[in-house]
Amino acid sequence: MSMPLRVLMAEDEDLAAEVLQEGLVDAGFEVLMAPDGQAALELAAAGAGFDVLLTDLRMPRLDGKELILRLRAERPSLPVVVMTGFAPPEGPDRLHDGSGPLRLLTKPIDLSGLVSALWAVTQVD
Amino acid sequence: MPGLAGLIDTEAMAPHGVCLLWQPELIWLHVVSDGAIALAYWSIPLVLVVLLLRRRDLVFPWAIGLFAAFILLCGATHAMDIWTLWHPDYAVQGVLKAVTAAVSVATAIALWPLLPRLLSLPSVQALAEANASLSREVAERREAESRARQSEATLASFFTHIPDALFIVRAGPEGPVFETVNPAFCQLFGMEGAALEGLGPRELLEAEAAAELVFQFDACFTAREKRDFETLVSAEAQGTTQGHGTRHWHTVLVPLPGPEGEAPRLLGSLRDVTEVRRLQAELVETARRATIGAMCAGVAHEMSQPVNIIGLWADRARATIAAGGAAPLRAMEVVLGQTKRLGALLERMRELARGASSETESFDAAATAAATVEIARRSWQLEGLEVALEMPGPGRLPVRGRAAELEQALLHLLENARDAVLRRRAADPAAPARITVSLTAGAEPGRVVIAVRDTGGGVPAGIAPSILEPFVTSKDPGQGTGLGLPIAAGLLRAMGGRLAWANWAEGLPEAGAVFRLILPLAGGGRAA
Repeated sequence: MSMPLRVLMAEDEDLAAEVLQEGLVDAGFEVLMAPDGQAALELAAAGAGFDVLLTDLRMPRLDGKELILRLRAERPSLPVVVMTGFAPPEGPDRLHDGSGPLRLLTKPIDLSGLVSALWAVTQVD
Repeated sequence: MPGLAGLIDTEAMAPHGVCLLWQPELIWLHVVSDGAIALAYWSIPLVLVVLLLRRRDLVFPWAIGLFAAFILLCGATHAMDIWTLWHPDYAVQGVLKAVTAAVSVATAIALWPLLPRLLSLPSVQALAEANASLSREVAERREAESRARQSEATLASFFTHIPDALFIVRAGPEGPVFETVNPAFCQLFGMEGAALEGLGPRELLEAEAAAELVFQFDACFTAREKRDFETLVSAEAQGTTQGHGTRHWHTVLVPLPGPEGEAPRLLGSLRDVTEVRRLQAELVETARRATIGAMCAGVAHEMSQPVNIIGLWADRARATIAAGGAAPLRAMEVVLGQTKRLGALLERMRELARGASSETESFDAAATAAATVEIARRSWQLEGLEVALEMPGPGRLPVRGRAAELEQALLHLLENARDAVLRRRAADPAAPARITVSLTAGAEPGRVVIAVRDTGGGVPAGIAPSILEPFVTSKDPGQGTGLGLPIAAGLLRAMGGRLAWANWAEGLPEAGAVFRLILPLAGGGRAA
């Protein structure tokens, strides 16, 4: 493994974001934190480099679904992992246009599951 | 005194011509005059007799007979006068006159008491008028009869073609029997009308349903009042062609007015309402499932956050301990904090469950509305929705019912408002996203009004007339059941209130709908 994977994490619950960051860093990821979708979008626009998007669905200002759509408009193959409190009845299909890999994790999340999901979506190419 | 023989003895007398000195002019004057009078007098009774014989309907025929006899005899006395000119039969003439006198006097006497009765006989004109009036009456009756026939034909057509089973029941010695039935009734029982008529419920239905029907018939016969009831009938047992399983029959009975002394009869209509009842039950079940589903989704979402944080921190603490690191105090504090958050959530759910009891109570609509609005405000803060509450001031607004149901009704309206606002914002990001809940008391006397006003653009005109009906929704497929408003309206009705709505600020940026929950104040008004 040469370069650590860079994760852009959009999560509005501070306590969840804090422990996820620690766990992911320990697992060898580099983590960019954003308290909501809008902040994540601004980080990306500012040129922050990342390999995968990890996002909550319900967030103030800009929700996860909208964030995925906006980022994918620029990077159609962007790998995405979604964490949500409830599974949308339509399944993950409604969350993106199918252009890039996407995993849906329902809360409660366990760290090892999250790590494997992050690896899985980034192993496509 | 001459004897009777002397009277008859004509030898001793001279004929009446002697008195006239046999002057031919005088003799012939008498003969012609008396002859003419006699002939005339005899002709009149002839006319009267013919009249009597031909018109048997004449009033007082005996008086006319008497008249005829009196005139006939008068004629005879004149004829006798001619005879006595040449023959001196004065005794015979006297007897004839005596008879004539008797009949004349009798006629005269009989005529006087008859006078008032003759005077009271209607005149020909009166009879003509009576006749005309009778003719008019006859014409009117014919017209009425024709109208009655037409109306009867209309009723008969109803009776024949109405989809409800109609029947007339007569009280028979063995219990009530069907006297007349319509085709729909025959179809229901799969039998010919002729075969059904004269049968009673006991011959047509299973024992239990028959007993119920007989009971209802008897009650209607006794009370002579309309009865309206439903019976459950087993389709297999009655052998009908109308589906299987238990059927719900809705029956209405009315006593039929009839002549005194006749056996009383009832008119009944019977409708199979199984489908309606099934759909109603399904509607309730669908609404229940929708409510449960929405509640579960809400609960799952509310609980997923603290459970997620607890899991992640516990996992982290375990890793720290396993690696021999410092005691994970912060992790434990986070876990405890999140457990408290879960506890508070559970407490709220227990409150909801308590509210589901069937007893009504007086509660403060202001407090319930405030708590409900607070739930919505917190839940939707993240979506950038502004939820404001306007209260009339401190003090309770007591209403009767169940607080949980008012909360549910208000939540349905709030959710609709939210959906409308979000949908509008999706199309126009600059549109205002505001929901205002305002409470007013006394604007309608003795009532409290909770108004939910949104900026979602208003109810589309196409569905406006039917928006309170089930399954009518303006939302996208999968977004709304169309049951929220009917459920809210039902809950309000149960509390003696109602639901009203209107669009407002049409054409302005803050255009939207306002739904008003109107409830009667309990205990007559505001209590401090």
